[in-house]
Amino acid sequence: MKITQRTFFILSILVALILNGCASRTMPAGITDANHLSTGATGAQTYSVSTSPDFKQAFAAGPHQGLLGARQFYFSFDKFNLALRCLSPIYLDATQQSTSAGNCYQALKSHAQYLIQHPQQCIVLEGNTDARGSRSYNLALGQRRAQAVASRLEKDGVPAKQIRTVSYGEERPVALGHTSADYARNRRTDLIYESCGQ
Amino acid sequence: MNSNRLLQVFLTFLGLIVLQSASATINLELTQGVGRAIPIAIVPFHGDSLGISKVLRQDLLSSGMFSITAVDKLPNKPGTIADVQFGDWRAIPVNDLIIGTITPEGNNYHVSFTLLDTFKSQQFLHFSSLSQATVNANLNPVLAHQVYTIPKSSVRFLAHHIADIIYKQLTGVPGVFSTRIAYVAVKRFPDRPTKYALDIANADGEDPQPLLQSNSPLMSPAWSPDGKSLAYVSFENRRSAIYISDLSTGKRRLVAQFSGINSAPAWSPDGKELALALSKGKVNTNIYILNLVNNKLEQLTTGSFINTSPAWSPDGKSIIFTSNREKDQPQIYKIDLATNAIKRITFNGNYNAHASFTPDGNNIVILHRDGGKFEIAIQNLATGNLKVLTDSGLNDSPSISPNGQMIIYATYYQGKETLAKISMNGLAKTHLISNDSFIQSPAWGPLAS
Repeated sequence: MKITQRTFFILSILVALILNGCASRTMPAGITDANHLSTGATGAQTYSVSTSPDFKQAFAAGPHQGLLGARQFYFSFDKFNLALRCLSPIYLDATQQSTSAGNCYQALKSHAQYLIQHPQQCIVLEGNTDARGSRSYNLALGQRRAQAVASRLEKDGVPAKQIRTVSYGEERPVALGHTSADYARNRRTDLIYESCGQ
Repeated sequence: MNSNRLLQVFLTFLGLIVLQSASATINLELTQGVGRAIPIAIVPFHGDSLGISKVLRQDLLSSGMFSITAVDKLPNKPGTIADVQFGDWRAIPVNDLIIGTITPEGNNYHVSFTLLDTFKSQQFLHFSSLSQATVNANLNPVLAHQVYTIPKSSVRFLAHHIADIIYKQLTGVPGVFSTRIAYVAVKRFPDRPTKYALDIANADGEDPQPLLQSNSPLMSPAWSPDGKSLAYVSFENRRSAIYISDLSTGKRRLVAQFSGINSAPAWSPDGKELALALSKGKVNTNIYILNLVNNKLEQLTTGSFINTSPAWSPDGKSIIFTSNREKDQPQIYKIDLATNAIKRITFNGNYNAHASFTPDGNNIVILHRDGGKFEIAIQNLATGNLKVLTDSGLNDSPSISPNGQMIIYATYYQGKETLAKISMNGLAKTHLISNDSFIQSPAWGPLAS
């Protein structure tokens, strides 16, 4: 099952690259170039997790060792079912490589274990969408993506009181371009550590 | 220290700045021609160092209702009716002619304009006199004539006012050139946090004033029916909340900050209630009505679906909203506020969202997915006929002008997120371009009282 999902993921990225004429990129654009400023096919500037202060500061808090560095979880267009496609997370540390789809679930398990072991630690799950469609509808869609990750963590034993969800809809894109790869990077839930009671 | 100043200090503390610093500059560019329009001519006003006739021309052109003779094609340039040779103008042909004069006096300017019907003037070809014209009202070519004394600072205001008079006179519908728009301006930097501003500007994008600036996203501004307040969504403190700001004082009131989503405020026609989309800590989003007088909150929709973007019917008896309750596709539904009966009203395509009623209640304007493209469309409620008005593919947030003749919406133009206006007949399109910001979530304010 894991292999099927991974193969499907790689195929989707390849198809996206071919469709968008950016096959010259050697890495799957949706994932591995997130640590670099890049220019999308439309010429619009793309900001990355590591350079945009909007995200850098937010992701700095909390543990980062091993799979705990995985903080962004991806979704398909118009979908909010994590079980269907859990794509690779992006690492804050540029030296770490992106991981397999199966490791994505493992990463969530690692976060769950950490939160269970640290009951004084809380997280906010921020749901996001790509720029297409209605802003308000996207806000509702983003909430479902945040809740999908929250449900998974709660299933893994994290008390609900340690988890807060918020949706930003399409308001906080990681990539500003308009290729399928850019859109794919924006359909995500960000996992951010924060002090409890916020 | 007065209360307003106190509020400013308080908001600054929260990372927000009210009514300070320059906001985004917007330039207007007419990008689509006009057909089947009323042919008119505007003669540059005599002594017009202020640019009034230019604003007038821009306003009337952007409405899509007029084709205006180019300045270099004008047969001559009269400033007063005595100098008008009506035959010259009928020969172009133009139905109506606008002339004017501006004379400075001290720090002020006397501005006079006259709107003439070129086909009501046969008897005056050889007389060309205003007093003669008044002899027979049926043949009086003067449709409007006004004289104003204004300071220089009121020039654009007066130009929009004159455009409103001319528009009303020639189309029978109130003009919206003096109305205001609200929108969100986003400034993104590679090395600094993104800045968000809620701006209010004239309908042509001029004179932008920031109502609120924030380090967190702002969205969904909504005008109160009296034009005195704006409701909007703010994400300050990493959560969503709905506020209402008083435009004259900057004072604001928190109206919803439940767990999860607080979104999509929409004022009832009487201004006493606010429809909202809230998730209240659940996965699903539902439509609620908040009574702004007694703060009572009433839930309208239920179930495990997305329900959002409420909009009131002009008579206040029903609300339309976006929901994925069937096949997980967003469509527009109407809820009757007396019976709570819900009825689906869009059936074209698999994505229809962000609906609002035209002022006559006969049509809805929606965001419609046409193939893979997100376009602004208008649907007649009686026939169900849908007309797609745009073709650029990445559009959002349509907001209808208070006279029902124009739509302002968010779009991408020359690679930037910006606003565009399109006439309801689809004939005239104008882009409002900011050189330093991404512009989104437009809301067209009510008619000036």
